[in-house]
Amino acid sequence: MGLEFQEWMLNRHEKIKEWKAKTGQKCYGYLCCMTPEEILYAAGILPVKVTGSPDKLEVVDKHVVRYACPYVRSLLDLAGRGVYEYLDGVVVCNSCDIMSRCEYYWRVLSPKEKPTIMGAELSPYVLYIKSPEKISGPGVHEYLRDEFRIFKQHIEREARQIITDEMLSQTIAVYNEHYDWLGCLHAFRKNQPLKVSGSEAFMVEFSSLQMPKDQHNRLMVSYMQELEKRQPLSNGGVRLFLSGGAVDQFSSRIYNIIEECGGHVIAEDIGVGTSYLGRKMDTTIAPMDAIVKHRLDVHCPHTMTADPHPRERFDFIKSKLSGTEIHGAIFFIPMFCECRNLEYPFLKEKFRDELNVPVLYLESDYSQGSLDEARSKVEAFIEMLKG
Amino acid sequence: MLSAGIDVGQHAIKVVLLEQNIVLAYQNMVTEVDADTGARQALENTLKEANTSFDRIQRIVSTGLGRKEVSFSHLQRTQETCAARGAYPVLGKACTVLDAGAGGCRAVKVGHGGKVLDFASNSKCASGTGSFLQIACEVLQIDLAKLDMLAGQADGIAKVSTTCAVFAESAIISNVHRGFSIEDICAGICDSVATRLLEVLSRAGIEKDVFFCGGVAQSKTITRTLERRLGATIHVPTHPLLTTALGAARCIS
Repeated sequence: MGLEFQEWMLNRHEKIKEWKAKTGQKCYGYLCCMTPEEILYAAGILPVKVTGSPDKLEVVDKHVVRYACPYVRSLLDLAGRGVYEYLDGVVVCNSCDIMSRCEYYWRVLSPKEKPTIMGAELSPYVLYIKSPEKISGPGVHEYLRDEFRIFKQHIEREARQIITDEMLSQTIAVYNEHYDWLGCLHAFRKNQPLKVSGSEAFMVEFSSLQMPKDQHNRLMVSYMQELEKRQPLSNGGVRLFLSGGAVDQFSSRIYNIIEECGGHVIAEDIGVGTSYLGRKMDTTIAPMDAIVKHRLDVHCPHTMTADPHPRERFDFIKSKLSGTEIHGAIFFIPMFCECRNLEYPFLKEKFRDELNVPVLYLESDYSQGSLDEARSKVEAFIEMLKG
Repeated sequence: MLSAGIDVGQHAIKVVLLEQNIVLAYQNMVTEVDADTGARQALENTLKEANTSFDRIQRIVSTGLGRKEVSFSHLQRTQETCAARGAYPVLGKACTVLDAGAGGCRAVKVGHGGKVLDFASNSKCASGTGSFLQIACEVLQIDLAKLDMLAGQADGIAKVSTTCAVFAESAIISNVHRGFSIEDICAGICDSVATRLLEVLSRAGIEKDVFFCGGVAQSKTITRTLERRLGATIHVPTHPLLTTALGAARCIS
């Protein structure tokens, strides 16, 4: 069962190309969880999360400075080398400074001709969504709805069909089922004794960012049944919370490292999937409003950069830990990540003072070398927690 | 109970043989063989010195960068735990242990009973380590002892404007060209290392008493600089290189 998830995680490019050849449908890549992927799905377009790779960088140095996020540099390098050639479009949001500029970089590194009218692209190859700096307050909902409305118009031109409210409602039903399954999986992870490791849960979740959600939902039915019957993994182990960014099929090896050193990740806030999964969309309001409301519920670090005391971020993290106990927290933060590094001192203090657990800071340059270095620090941290 | 602590560092292998909390013998051996063979040789030499045999050892604990390479150890413990175990009995109170070796530096906040409360270490960077001092010595064509002695005689400090070991090399050469005295240049090098160590210390949390060990702790100038800038008492053991191996020998449970 886990094999199918693993295939979609480790061989994502091949699996997506296979899917495209089989269905004849289009596929869009997105960089940030603020992307209204439901609109793409409703139009019959597969939304897939674009990620990096530990490969040696070949082309990006010419365009992006070395002191930019190593993860974004890596995924842009893949784009420049044609690895993401199979994408029919790319969606960029202003999650952080470097991410905002990916709209330009992607066009330069991976240009693609699209039909034009009077010199303007009918539907841009790289779509840009300017999400609000704040996630609450007057006019915020209306502003984002307008951004999503324009995005929907582009997708309608690309798909050559009108995306009706009914189509969006059907999509929301599929996505809500997905959030239900992921919610069950995360609840399972809090149980003692443990039946599912953090690395396995990540694989299940990450695969959902690459494959069609309905297909993932079908796999989840039998997977959860298998999980119910499964023998516990281990009684012991240090229970940890993982916070960080740029965690993907490569850097998620941090989960394995933690497990090999005698720890278990019980819950996380890593900007991939779980940042917003688990909470369902409101089916009592207009579907577009439901999507907007859902995205504004994302307590992503970028929405808090202007807040000197990001209390809401901590409350959000705390909510992930309700009903379970942890022994420590690990912050696995990419180099030059202003969003995560700016909030770190505040969150570290809160973990120590309010949750009464020690915190380990790991800096990642998105390379095997930094994972190796992380191993010795994780080992020392877990040894410290064991006493 | 006879136990052996083996610290496989980047530059040398240190072994401490401990019985009833008494050090029977110790070794500090620079080897050019693989970690496992080197550790075996160092242990054999220690056993010879203590006039005892391998069979009598009930527990061997390895630590250091190459701890996992020691095939005959019963336990492997991280440098953070071993540094705390090695230092705490000396002071007998909560302290911060600063361990600066050839390949890395770390600060460990130690609570009552020798429990590790927090730690911080350098990341893929030679500044604040013995390797940085070694590079500086090569540039100036002197040995570590002389660098420390000259730094102690300085009237001023020729600042090394970078913490990067690679750029520091050219910064030191620039200082030579600018006509600074060799004493002031050496003082600048020690000051640069102390600055980096202070950063690591502040990340872990500085207690009233700081226990300074590892090869870098042999530098009196760096110790004095730390003392002056911290306003804390810096305790340097008689054999600062052996603290972590001693702590490993104490990790018997």
